[in-house]
This record gives sequence, C-alpha cells and structure tokens, in this order.
Amino acid sequence: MNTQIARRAAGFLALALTLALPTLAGAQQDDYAITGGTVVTVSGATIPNGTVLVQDGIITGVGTNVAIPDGVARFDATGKFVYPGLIDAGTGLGLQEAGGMAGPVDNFELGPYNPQIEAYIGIDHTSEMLGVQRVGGFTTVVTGLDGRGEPIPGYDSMINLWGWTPQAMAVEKRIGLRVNWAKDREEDLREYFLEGKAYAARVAMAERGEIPVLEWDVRMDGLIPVVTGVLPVIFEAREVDDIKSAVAFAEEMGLRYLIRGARDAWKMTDFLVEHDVKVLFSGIHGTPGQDEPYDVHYATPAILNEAGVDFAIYSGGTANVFSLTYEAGMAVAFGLPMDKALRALTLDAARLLGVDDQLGSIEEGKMANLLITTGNPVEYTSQVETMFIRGELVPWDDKFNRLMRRYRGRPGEILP
Amino acid sequence: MSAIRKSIPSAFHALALTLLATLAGSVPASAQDLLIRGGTVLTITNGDLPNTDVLIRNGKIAEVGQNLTVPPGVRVIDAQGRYVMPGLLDSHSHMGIDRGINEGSRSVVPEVRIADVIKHDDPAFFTALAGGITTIHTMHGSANTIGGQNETLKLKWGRPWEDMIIEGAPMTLKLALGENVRRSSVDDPTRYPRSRSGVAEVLRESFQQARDYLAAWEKYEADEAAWDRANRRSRGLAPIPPKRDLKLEALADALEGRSILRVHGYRADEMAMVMEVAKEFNIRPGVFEHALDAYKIAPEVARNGWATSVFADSWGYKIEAYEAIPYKMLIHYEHGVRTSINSDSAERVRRLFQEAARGVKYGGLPENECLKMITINSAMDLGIEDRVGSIEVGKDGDIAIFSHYPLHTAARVEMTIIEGEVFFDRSATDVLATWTLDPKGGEERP
Repeated sequence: MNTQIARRAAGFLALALTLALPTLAGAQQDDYAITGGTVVTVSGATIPNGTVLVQDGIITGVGTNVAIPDGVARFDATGKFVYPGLIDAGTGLGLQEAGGMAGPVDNFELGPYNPQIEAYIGIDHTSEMLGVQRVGGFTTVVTGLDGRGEPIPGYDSMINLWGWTPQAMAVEKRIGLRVNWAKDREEDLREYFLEGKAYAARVAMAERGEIPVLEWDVRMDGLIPVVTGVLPVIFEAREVDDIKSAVAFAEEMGLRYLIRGARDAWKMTDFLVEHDVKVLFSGIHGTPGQDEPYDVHYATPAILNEAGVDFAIYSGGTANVFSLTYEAGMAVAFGLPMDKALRALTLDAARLLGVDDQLGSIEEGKMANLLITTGNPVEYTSQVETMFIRGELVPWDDKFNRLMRRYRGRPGEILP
Repeated sequence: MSAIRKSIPSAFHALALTLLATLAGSVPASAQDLLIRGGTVLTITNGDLPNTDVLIRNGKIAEVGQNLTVPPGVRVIDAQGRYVMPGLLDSHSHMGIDRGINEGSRSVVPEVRIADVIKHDDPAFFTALAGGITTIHTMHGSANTIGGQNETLKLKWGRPWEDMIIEGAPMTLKLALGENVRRSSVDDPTRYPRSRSGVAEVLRESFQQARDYLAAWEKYEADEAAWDRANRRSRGLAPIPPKRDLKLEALADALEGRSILRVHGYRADEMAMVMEVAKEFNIRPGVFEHALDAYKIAPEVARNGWATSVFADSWGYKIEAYEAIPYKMLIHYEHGVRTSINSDSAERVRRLFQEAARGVKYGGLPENECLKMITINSAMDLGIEDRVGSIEVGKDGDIAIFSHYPLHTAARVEMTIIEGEVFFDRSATDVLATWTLDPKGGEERP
C-alpha cells in the first residue's frame, strides 16, 4: 500500500517537473505532438497508439500516421488515454466566490429583463473556483447570471478554464440567452419578444435605408440575435406544463432554443422527441420528491437516451462543477451507455450549444482542449494527469493542488 | 482497539457457532437466516474473497466460505457476478429527526437527546437503504457549543423506532466550533459565545462544572459509606446527595470516557483548541466532524489520537470551507489519521460509495482504504466496530450487494440486508414505481 503511495508521490513530482519545464521556458504556445496514447476522439473511432498534433492551439493531425514536423515537442502518453476536455453546459462559475457572503456574489442584475447582459465580462477570471474544476477534467464551461430567477437574467457565456483575461478565456461571449420560464410569465414574455421582433425588423429596414436610423435601445438590441434565430434561447423549465408551454412559445416565435433543467423530462419523452427539443438536463443526484419514483433522477438520462431525446447534462454548480463526472457516472449505473455519458460531457454538449465546430472531440481543426488521463474521465477513479487548453499546457496550480503540495510537504512526523 | 482484544469476541462467536453447526439439522431457520451465494465478498478487514458464500443465522454472520451447505429452510440469494460488502455506515446524518436538530435557546445543552425525537418513517431511510446504508449516526446540529446526545440507528424501514436503536452502542455527544456555533450568519447575535475564544472558554467551563459535579458525587458516596459504617447512635443525620443534574451527568459521561465526542470543526485552529482542552481534562480523543482543514495539522491530529469524519470533496460553500481539498483523505492516510466519509445529507447518503471513490481519484488511495471509510472506520467512530463494518463471523448480518465493484462507475446497490433480513431489493422495487411509503407498524412516538 505504501509503495503505491510512494509511486503516486513520485508521479506527482514527475508531473510537477513536466509541467514546470515548458512553463519556465515560456513555451506554452509551442507546437507539439501527443504520442503513444489511446486517443478517444469521441466523434470517430478510438485510435490505439495514436498521435495528436497541435499547432497554434489547434488540432492539426489525428491518427496513427501523422507526420510530426521536425523540432516539435512530444508528450509521451504511452499507457494513457487522450480525451477531449470536458464541458459543463451550465454553471455559475466566476460570478461568485465562497458562499455565505454577499460581497463576492455577483450573479444577478436588477429588473426583470436584461438581454443586454453578458456573463463573461463580469467573471472573476482569477477565481479559485475556476481552476479547481480542472482536476475533474473540465476545460470549458457555460456560466451565467441567474441569482434571483428573474425572467431574463442575460446571456450565458462559454469560457475556457484557463487564460490570463476574461476575454482570452471566452469561447463564446453569448452562447445563448437565458430565460427563466414559468407558465405565468408567458404573456409578459410574449409581449417583450414581440417588441423585440418589431425592433429587429425596424433595425433591418434602417440598415437597408428604408427608414431613418432608430434611437438605439440597449435592451431591444440585446434581443435581436435571438428573435432573428441567430442565437438560441436557453429556457430554464422543470415541470411538464412549463416545458410544454416554453416549447410552444419558442415554436410560435420561431426561436432557436434549448430547455434547461428539465426535471420532469422522464415523464414526457414522446413530446420531447416529437418536437425535437434539445434538453440540457441537471439534477441527476437530486433527491426524489414524495410524488416521484425513488432513484428516478439517477435513471432519467438512460430514459431520455432510450427514447431518443437529444440531450446533454450540466451541474448548475460553482464550487463543485468537477463532481459532474460523478453525476454522469450514476447515470451509467442506471443504464446510460458509457459512451453516451462521455458525449453528454463533450460532443453532445458542444453540438447542442452550437460550438461543435470548435469543441467536443479530437478532430483536425478543433481547439486543442485535451486531457491525458489514466482512463475514461467519467469513471470515478480515473485521474487527469495532463491538460491542454487552447493548446497550452495548463499547470496544476489550482487551489487543491497548491494546498495539497504545501501541506504534504509540511514538517511533522509521517507515521508508517 | 488492539487486534487481540478484537479477536476475542470473534473467537467466542466462532466457537459458539461451531457448536450450533453440529446441531445444524435441529436448528430451525429463522426470519433472520440467509445464505448469500457466490459473490465476490469484500470483507474489508480480511481481503476480497471471490466466489464466496456468506451464511447469516439469527441475524449474525455464521460462516464465510466457499460452497457452504445450505441449512434446511434457509433462503438463498444468488450473488454470482455481484459484490457483497458490509452494509454501509453513515457516521454523520440528520435523518429521522422530528422537528429541529438544534436546541438553540442555550449554547450548552448536553442533556437533550435525539433518542426522544426519532421519526421512524422518514422516507429518507428508504432512499438511503437503496444506497446500501444499513447504519446511520443521526445527530444534533452545529448551532450549539455542546448540542446534545446523538443516536445510532439501523435503517429497519417499516419497523418501530425501538427496533432501530442499537442496544449497547456508546453514547455520543455533539460539540460544535466555528461559524455555526458563533451564529455568524445571524446579524445581531445575542447569545454567548460569539467568538472562537469564547467557545474554548465555554468548553473549559462546562467540563470544569462536570468535574466538580463528579467530585461532589464522589464525596457524597464516600461520606455515605462512612456514615453507613459509623456507629448508629452517634453518627447523626445521613449525608445529603447532590442534586441530580442531567446536563452535568452527560458531560461527566464524556469526562469518564463513556461517551464519544463528535466535534463539528472546519478550521485547523479550532481542532487544535479542542485537542488542547481535551488533554487538560484527560478526555478520550473523539472524532472531528467535517474536519475540512484537519489535513493542515494531520501530524498533530494523529499524535493526539483523534479521528475525522469528512466530506470527500465539498468545499467553498462558506469561508471556513474555502480551503477544503479532496486530497485530504490522502494526507490523513499518510499520517495515520483514521477517516470516515459521511453524508450529512439525505441526498449524499444515497451514494456514499461514489464519495469513497474520490479517495482513489484524488491521490490514489488503495481501494480497500476507500471502502473502509464508509464501513469499518465509521463503525469505529461510533464504537460499534465489534458488531458492524466488516464481514466477519460473529458480526451482524448487515450486507449491501452491488451490481459491480462499489468504486466502479457502473455500480449500484441491488439489495440491502440488515441482520439477515432483506430491507431493500431492487428487483422487487421497480425504479419507476412511485414509492410506497407504507412502513408497517411503528407507532408515532407520543
């Protein structure tokens, strides 16, 4: 047992050295090849003993016959696995620090409608809550305001969990407009969206020179991308009636949309398939209410998958986003195929959010968000040993690893 | 506890059961008899045994071995391809408590007892059973410096509360430190103590009162003995006994080692304080609850003989939880600090095995060490390790049967058994069936 610990300790040390060297050399942006590992592309076949070539932060080669240019650094992944970075399709990261204090909580705006708000601009990109999520294999998350459940809290943003500024971390500043849907808000939201449609139409006419330029309305302007179908609305809706009325509303308005939350999704799979509803499900670990079957939330992803519902999962968390792999794992225990669980945290999340041209799999042309691991990151005991975000080797300098190194190294007798 | 001491009851039981076995033909099967056949038995204390049977008779583990003979009339459960481990223990829970877990009117209330308010039909008992839990330690909250006496229960869903109590389990006393006991979330606190220094002082004062109380009783008993012996004509009036004080009695139990201190603490300094006070009063080392920062003083915790009962990876939900790290189990292990993983939640209790798996993920702890943190280590927290927490002959027949290795991603609980009786059977309880919350019997306590 102690030899195993010693081996782990040696592993940590080796890892620290591996990480330190390129960082010290200031060579993060260098091109490199990851060789010898089992490459789980997610989008296609898994490639044993494969090579992944990364140049300028982009994957430029994947396979067994990739020509590695001279002078390119190599990462040996022999005996390891290479996975795309995990994505959490819904968090509050960067918008609040430790709970229990008002000061660091910055996740709501005043007023019911704020379609002009963008989450990324307000995130504390140095928040300790961001870095630690990397230990679970997460490279990318959606984050957004919603602290008080206002009808339109603003645009969610998609960010990478590594970067020196919020701008550098942002993958999509507007990934979708969050709407906290409730059936009794329908009339007010209809009026608001119709106003937005009219505004968008007048802006288009003004651009064509058909009418004079309008007085700019910051909120209406924020609505244009969703009422014109460029960006999706992400409706948070949990119960059957709310989900159905949100879908009817989206269809009536001709919106691109997703349903988020979707606690009751297991009750209405026919409806979700029939209307081709894209679902972001959360709450796998949720305790059942007394009117719900026991363990039903554990089983919901398998039920959705079997019925052919198009879905991904998200944590809705801040401190413990990294535990989403354990929620995915529980879904596996209750019948979700392992490869679908992985896709729900990678390619399916990227596709539902409209960024599968950039993220979610190991393919040429995609952003080099990559993991070298001891196994499938959805498996409870797998360890993420090396991480790249936008092609940069990310140091293990998150709070968990910093404190672990400090206190493992403190003086004091270590008993046998 | 030394290995030798521990082996005595086991050896005794083994002997008794061997004698019983010779009479096997004449022993009728009871409702608490069961043979679990052919699973991989994770004994926790004696390695993993493939293709092994576990025989439970009269609620106790009677035999562990291959190809055991089925005694006449004993139900056989096929566990081939499955994993048979001891029923899980949750060392820190608040389930099954009727209306309120804090007696918050005073900060020192060691006299109040969970045993008086057990809600036997809490639906959370059932969902916890579906996660393989057989024993919980259900506790007072953390709003008080000394919060009262907790209770250890078996989750015999459907039975009256009296059947759930583990007779002979040591009393445990809840203490609390830090933000909660200081009532730091209350804007205008009026209750002493308000500071960590104040909490330390209240602890000292309370234990000093208990020490004085014990001394008063000792003096009385000595006086009374002397009075008994004295000449009947000249001895005068009998000495008057001290007034009985339930609060000080409970604290005296702690002073004399009859109860186990369970001390809610987050920051390392708080725990260092308690170890200092405990040493002053020569109090038996107890268990730190949550103990999020104990990893920072792991050598001191080990040296003082205290144990910890932790969250695997929860952190950041308040400032005193801001330095909790999932590598804590690794650091505790390296220093020999005993650790259990608890739920403190009706949600997390349903998947304690997942929590244990974090020990492998964050630092590569040996798998059996992780399983100990939800079985035998928790049993030691509660002082019932001679009864539960491992699969050994003579121990209670408390078993969780898993579909896969419990730290594996595909693992779920298929069956939960307490003292030889099946209390949860997934094959008979369709996951999509609305639960029938219909506990049989068990009157609500008046």
